[in-house]
Amino acid sequence: MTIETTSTPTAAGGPADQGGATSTTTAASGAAGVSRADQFRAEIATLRIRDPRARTELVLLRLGAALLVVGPLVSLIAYFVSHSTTNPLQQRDAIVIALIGVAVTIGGAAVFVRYSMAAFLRFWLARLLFDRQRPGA
Amino acid sequence: MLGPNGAGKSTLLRVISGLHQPSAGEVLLGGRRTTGADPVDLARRGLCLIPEGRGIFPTLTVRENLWMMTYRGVSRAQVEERAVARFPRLGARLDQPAGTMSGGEQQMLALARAIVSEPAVLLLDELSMGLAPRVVADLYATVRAIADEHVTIIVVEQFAAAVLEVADTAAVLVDGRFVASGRPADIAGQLSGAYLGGASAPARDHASSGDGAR
Repeated sequence: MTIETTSTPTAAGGPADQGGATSTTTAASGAAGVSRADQFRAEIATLRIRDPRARTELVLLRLGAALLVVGPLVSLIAYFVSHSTTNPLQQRDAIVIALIGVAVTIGGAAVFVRYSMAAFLRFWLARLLFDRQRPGA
Repeated sequence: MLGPNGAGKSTLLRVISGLHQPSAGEVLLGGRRTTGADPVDLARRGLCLIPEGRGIFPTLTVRENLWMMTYRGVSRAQVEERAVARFPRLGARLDQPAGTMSGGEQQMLALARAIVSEPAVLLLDELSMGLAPRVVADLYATVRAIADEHVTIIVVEQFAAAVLEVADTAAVLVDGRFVASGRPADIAGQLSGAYLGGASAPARDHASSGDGAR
């Protein structure tokens, strides 16, 4: 499937492209249209296309969920460590580890919400648009 | 692009616009592979799809429907001005709910919303659906005028007569494969065979060459 945007005039009813549904505009004079086609080509050339196999969103969603579990666990362990000793140095270390656990939890929650809620909100928005488009809605 | 029900015409438009991933093959836009591109990115760069059923908001006024297209940095006033310049009938209906207009006027609104965003590629799905032949002829005259302003337009249609009159190139899609492509006058002669499942000889040769996109 190839779509050409013409920047040079072509004859109407020209020879068919055998590669499929190639659509070539019939060119009339005027620089505005030409520049729009060139602009489109330039913009398409800079388009960033993600590899559909990369599944980055799914990986980040799982990472966020994992951090949500690991963070509280780290904090909990640090809590018990601080309680099992009277050594102030060890207790301070435990406080630092517990705070890291809290930070990991917050970070994990943010990543999880970003990549789980984004899909949900997209669906919700699409549903809203669909409802608005139904006559009599 | 012509073809019977279930041929894959609308699916192909959705693949081009990035809404669906193709099971095989590539989409090239302006010479660049865009398979898998985000539909929002493609729309921002000037690829516009008018879906089957027009995609307008019937409970919003015509003016509000037009305002939806102000995302490209165009003001509301400019959007209205451009739309009314192309479709003067919409000018008298700016404050009317879009759903209360006739089918032809709703299709005009859908086209107006598309062209105010200055698209480079316009994909039209079943423009004639539910419209009287006279209205369809008028709409296709407008489509031709838009194409003459250097906008590449791909039209998917089930009813061939009106669109073949304005098209530069035509193709017939059957069961997800192109069985014929060429000048509209040539395609018109092969349509009955293609629709009934017995495409003419050159069409069969084309299909068996493996060029047909799926």
